[in-house]
Amino acid sequence: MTKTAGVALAAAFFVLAAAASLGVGPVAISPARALEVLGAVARLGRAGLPPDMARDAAILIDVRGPRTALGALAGAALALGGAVMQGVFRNPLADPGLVGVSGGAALAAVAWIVLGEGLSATLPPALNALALPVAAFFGGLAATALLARIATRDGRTEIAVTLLAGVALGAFVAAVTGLLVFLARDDQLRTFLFWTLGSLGGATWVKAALATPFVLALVVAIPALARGLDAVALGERAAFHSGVDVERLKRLALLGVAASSAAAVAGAGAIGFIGLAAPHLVRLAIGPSHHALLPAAALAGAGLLLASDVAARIVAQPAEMPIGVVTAAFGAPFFLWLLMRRRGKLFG
Amino acid sequence: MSGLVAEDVTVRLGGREVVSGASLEVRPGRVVVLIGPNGAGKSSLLGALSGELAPASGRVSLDGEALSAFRPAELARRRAVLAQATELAFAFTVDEVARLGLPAGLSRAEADAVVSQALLAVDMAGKSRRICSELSGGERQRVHLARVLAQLASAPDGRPRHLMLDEPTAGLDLSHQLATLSLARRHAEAGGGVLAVLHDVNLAAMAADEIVALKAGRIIARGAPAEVLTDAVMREVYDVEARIGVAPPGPFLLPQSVRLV
Repeated sequence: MTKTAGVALAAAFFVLAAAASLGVGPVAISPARALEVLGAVARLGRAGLPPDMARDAAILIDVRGPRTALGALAGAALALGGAVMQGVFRNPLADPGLVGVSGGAALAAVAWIVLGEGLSATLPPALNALALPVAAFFGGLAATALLARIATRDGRTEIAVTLLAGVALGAFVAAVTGLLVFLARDDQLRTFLFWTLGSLGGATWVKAALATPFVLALVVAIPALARGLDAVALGERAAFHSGVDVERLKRLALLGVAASSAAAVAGAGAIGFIGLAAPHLVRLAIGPSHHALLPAAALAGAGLLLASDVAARIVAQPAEMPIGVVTAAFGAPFFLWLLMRRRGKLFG
Repeated sequence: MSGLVAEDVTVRLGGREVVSGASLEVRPGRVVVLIGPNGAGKSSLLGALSGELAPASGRVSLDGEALSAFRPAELARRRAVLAQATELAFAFTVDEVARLGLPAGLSRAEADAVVSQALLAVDMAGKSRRICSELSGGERQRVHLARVLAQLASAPDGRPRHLMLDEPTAGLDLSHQLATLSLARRHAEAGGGVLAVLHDVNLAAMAADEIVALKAGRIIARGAPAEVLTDAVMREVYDVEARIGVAPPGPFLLPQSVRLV
């Protein structure tokens, strides 16, 4: 497949998944109907709509719209973050979780759930709803910042040290998280457990808007990162020889991935597997060159997360499955099948 | 002063002195070859001249300016480096790897022309769609040489461009060894400087305008091939007894025995 065709295919998949995310549910809304309703909203305003249109407008704009936006942002951030991390680490196993983002976010989330209860009662409801994602965001960022500090000496960030320290830091953070889980009441435990499995059920436009700048920043950085990541595939020395400021590239990549993945995890919970698998799927189709890989992975990740969310909504109707269960339950076997068929093509 | 110049350069790695007070010059149009036993500091000296290793003392300059003053991107326009071994991650094709060397700012047509010419020069044009990691070691080495040639092929700005090759002939068959050295010679004839590390003393004698022999981080001898390829120097540098002959235009060496400790 050519690179352009690959990016176009990923874009088409994303559009289809977004349409499904807007249309699928107890009230089915076809893409044509959705356009009709949104057109009417634009012309008449929400107050002037006939009742059946008002109902569909409410579903589209208040419920499925933010859910679709947040899902797309989170999926794009995780997949793009995975692709960038795999490139920087030159390691096919890397994903945003490896640099402490998910662990740090989970620790902050459980800390807020268990210890923040008193504070939570004093906050106005609008702020209270955002307190958990904001805590998770800063928890994720703080873990990565600590990791970067540990692995950087004399201005050089050692990749092998980053990987090992990431594992060690992850274990320690998980231990503290475990301690808080041990202290938690049953209802707190349930809240935390569902948060770790991921869900777009609590999506609001405010949450989507808060995540947007961080995800957008990484998307905008794609052209700046792509050439450097391609060169780093030759090793850091050869990348330097070919004109890449490798230390700057690593700092930029780490910061961009940490901020956007923390925003994704904060908004949608710790959704696994998309950050690992989406870049590999794209690489198999169009090769490892980052100019095409990064945008295609972002689109594919957004599409995968939305498709998983649609599945999560319909498999156990009227209940909703956690998305993390869907991404892993469908994604992992598919990925294993792919590995068995195309082994060796993955990392060269 | 144009060219790559090292003045009294000392390099330390992990607290150990690997190059001690080395001075050499690679002038435009000249091919300089570093020889010496394993661990003599050849690659470290090359690393100091490429900007990859900061010398602990001494001065390294490129066309009269201190090397440390260059940003990586500027440096890449003025010199290209072929490392001893390049471990490529992911399944890049031959064509994609050669393109990794391209400087920014070339038009698509220029880039295509530069890459196809570089692949032709290393005899890999017929395999440009192949996955690099599926090639033999020697073929991979040639692809990386093409990448390095492409790096120096940007629009001419009148400045000399320098080529630095760390064991470029390792793993190559005889004809491609000679082809690689001809490429280096052609680069010098086009006005660039060449600094190469070679293990084969006879190839060095054939390729070099000047040979620099290192041992334990120090330069033991420096000069035209006929001045460096002598019984005494070979004994001192390699602990090897050798017979030196002359096959015009230069000397050659036939190893006889080694002194084992």
